[in-house]
Amino acid sequence: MNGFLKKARQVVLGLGDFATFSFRSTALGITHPLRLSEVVENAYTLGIQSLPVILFTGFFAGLSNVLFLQGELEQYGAKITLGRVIGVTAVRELGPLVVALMLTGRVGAAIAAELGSMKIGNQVDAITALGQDPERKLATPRVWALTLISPVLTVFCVLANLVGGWVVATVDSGMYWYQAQMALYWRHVSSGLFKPFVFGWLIATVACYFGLRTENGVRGVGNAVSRAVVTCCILIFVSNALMGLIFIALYGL
Amino acid sequence: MLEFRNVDFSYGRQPVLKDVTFSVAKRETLVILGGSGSGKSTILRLLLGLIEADSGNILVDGQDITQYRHAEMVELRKKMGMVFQEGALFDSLTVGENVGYFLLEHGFRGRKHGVEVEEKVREMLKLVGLEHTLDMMPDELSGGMRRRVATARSLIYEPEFMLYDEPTTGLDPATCESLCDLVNDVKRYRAVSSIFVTHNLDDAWRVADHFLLLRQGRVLWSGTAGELRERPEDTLRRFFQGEVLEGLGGRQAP
Repeated sequence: MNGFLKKARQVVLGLGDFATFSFRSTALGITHPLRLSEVVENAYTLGIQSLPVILFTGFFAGLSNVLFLQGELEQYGAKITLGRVIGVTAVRELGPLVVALMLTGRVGAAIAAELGSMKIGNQVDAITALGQDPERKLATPRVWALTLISPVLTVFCVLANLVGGWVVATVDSGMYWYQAQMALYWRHVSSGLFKPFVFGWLIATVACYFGLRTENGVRGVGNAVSRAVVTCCILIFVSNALMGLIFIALYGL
Repeated sequence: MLEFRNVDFSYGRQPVLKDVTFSVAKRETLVILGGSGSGKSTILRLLLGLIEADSGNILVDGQDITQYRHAEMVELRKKMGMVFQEGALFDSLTVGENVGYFLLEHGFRGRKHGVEVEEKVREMLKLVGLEHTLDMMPDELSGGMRRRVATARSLIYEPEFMLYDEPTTGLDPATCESLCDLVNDVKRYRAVSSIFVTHNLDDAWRVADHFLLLRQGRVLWSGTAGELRERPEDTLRRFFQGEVLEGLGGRQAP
């Protein structure tokens, strides 16, 4: 029981520490304005360079979704709505989730590893010694860049989902794309564009947090990466469900 | 002048420094000698405000920095140059950008300042004898060169105090010697007070004006290099072997 209480206390303290860190590293971008070059450079390396892998996975995610969905829809005589079904799925769920998971794997892990290595190599302390705030210097530009670039990546991923689906769709192409357009209602689009902001912010803050809290040498870097990735995945799915509920409460089904 | 008065520090429940008292005068180099885990590097981290003392006072030019707020601490750090173990250069920046880091990050950006910064960077690299490395990346440098560049990175803002955290660990004897010469040159020509943390005896003798012997977080003895020289020759060897050093004089801690 004592062990459990101790663990629970650690978790609560950790959550408090993370909440303070994430709020502070974001707010520092406003109180100590970022240089445009800092954000653009990070948005390019973290975001735009992730585009190929996002398009690739998005294509196959859309493709496999259509593969089984069209059979199901046919049974109900609703195959003609395939484009619309895959459109809504891609805009609301598939696109944002594929982007979030790929960014977690490619960018979240890289950030945690990079900052973790800097921490154990005393480079983070060196930044402090040279009169700067390491959170402002290392975390803030990454947090803002990833938050702002995620929705852009999501738009491309949704397109890749639809193209992937279209390749194997057995309905008329014109009908597929017409139906897909029907998915572009505000209640779907707003949800699909809002989620990536949250996911991008979560991935960057979690990865920076675990990276900058790295301890115990090289082994600590491995731990930081694995904890960052697992935490990101959990937070993405939990926050996705919560946001789904909120959007349904706001706009209805 | 740097001064520690009865400073205690612990990591969680693990005491690291106990009642540490010493001072470093202007243009002097204090060598802190001690084995692994004796708390040597902790003293430097306390001075930079990377960690906070549990009790006691740390004075820089008579001002107690344990009472400093964040903004005051940031200003204070501009007086301190720190050479970390292995140099801690920024891997993603060139040698020139590393050396010019302080200037670039404190307003000397853009075309207007470009020439000015480059001149200053070249001057610093020349001082440490590495002018040709300006456009190289840190991973192309040897261990000794990295630490020279780290010294140049600190010297560019003309600090009043230089802190060296085991700068010679893992280097060959010739490189150690030239690095120690650099430390002495910096002291002589730039009028800085230095703290040099090491467990290498040869290097310690090369740079020391004063010695501070630390064992398990306590000051075992402090005094001038001259005073230590008068002691039996094997004093330091016995210190490192953890022996009780009877007869080390009045300033040996209880």
